[in-house]
Amino acid sequence: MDSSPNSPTSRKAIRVGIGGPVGSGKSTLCLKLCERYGTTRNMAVITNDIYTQEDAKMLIRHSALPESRILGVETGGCPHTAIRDDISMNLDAVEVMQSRFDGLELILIESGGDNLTAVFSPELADVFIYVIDVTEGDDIPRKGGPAIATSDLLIVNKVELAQYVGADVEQMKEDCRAKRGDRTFLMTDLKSGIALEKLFAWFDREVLFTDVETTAPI
Amino acid sequence: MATTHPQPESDGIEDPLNDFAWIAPLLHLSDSALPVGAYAHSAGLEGVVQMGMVRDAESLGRFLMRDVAHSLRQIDLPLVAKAHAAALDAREDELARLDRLSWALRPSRQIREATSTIGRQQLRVYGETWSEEKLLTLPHFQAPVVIGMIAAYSDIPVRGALLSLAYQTYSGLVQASLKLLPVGPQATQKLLHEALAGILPHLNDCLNRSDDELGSFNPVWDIAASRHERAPARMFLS
Repeated sequence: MDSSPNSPTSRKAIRVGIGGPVGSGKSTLCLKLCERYGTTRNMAVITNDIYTQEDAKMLIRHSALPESRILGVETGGCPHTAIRDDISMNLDAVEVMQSRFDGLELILIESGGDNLTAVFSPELADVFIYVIDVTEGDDIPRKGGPAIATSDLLIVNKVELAQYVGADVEQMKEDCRAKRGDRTFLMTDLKSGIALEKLFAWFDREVLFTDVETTAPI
Repeated sequence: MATTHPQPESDGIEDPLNDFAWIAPLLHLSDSALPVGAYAHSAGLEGVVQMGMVRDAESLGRFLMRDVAHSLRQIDLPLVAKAHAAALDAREDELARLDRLSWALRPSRQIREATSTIGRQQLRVYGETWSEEKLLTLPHFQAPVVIGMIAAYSDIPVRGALLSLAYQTYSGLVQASLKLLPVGPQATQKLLHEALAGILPHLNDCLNRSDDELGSFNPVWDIAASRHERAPARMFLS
């Protein structure tokens, strides 16, 4: 790999930032996206962990993608810094992946679990998906914040657990609409598959632009 | 290589600000907000904390003033000075040699790689922000060599470059200590002040060290840094 700071950047892969609090389902989302697109798209995953490379190891254990396509970044206890304020380590990881795989189309960048203020730098991610879940408290959408309000897609996960923790899913939907306006949000249960097809339809349309892709010669 | 940072406009009147234009790039280069990934490294501090050598503000102060200062005086600051001189004379072969020497002087793989990671990012930020010319490619991008180069290209005096590296080193360590130890921000600022004051009298000694004088012997720190690499849980990369 050419490690020169001035090395030319090759054609950019689409970078999808996936953020959200600890345990909300970010890694599961990565896993589902890898299972769906891993065989048809030239893709890779970069995971950011606070302490270790557990998220990368989880994806490797589940054979989400070949091991060489999954790279863990340790973030020194500052996951929000690594995706927003000082993205150099993630840009390094992106460079590694683009050098490793010619014609890379898609890179998922999973943030380490963080608080509600964390967002991805637009210099790191082209698309920002934010994941919360009903068990963290059904007032989270109402609290708002930049990720809740402005992410390209908000996923409210683990809706099947709402009855066990007393979360009011309908109220959460109302709050999402109030905070996000026309921006899309999905009420999902990624493990059991609730709204997975809606998620893939959104991903096809908004990230991969499959509705405008053409095989005709230009 | 041309310096690209702006100079104060001259209206023909003697303006003392003209003598200090180099302070702007020095502050920029030394800013802990510079996006070079320094926040992910503890430069071996987490390792010595895990070993129990550093436990509180008092032992942190001892570590900074004794171990870190010794390493700065014996390795990093002399390398900055040598790189600064080589860059001023456009001796590219010498810069590459110093870079390899800096790499070789660090027994722990984590510390070697951390020094390169930060140096590479510093040169990248410099290249994308200050300089429009193609920058020299180094074998390892070791931070002391990169800082010496950037300082020379930006008209920063050599002692300013030495202080910049000392500040970056100490500042990074005290920031990391806030996460690793039961110490507060006021205590760490006091330690930072003392550490910088402690290194000032030694700057001149670092300007003309021969290669044979470079190097330090601190097996506890080296072993701690090497153990850290295999720690089951850790917060920092180094």
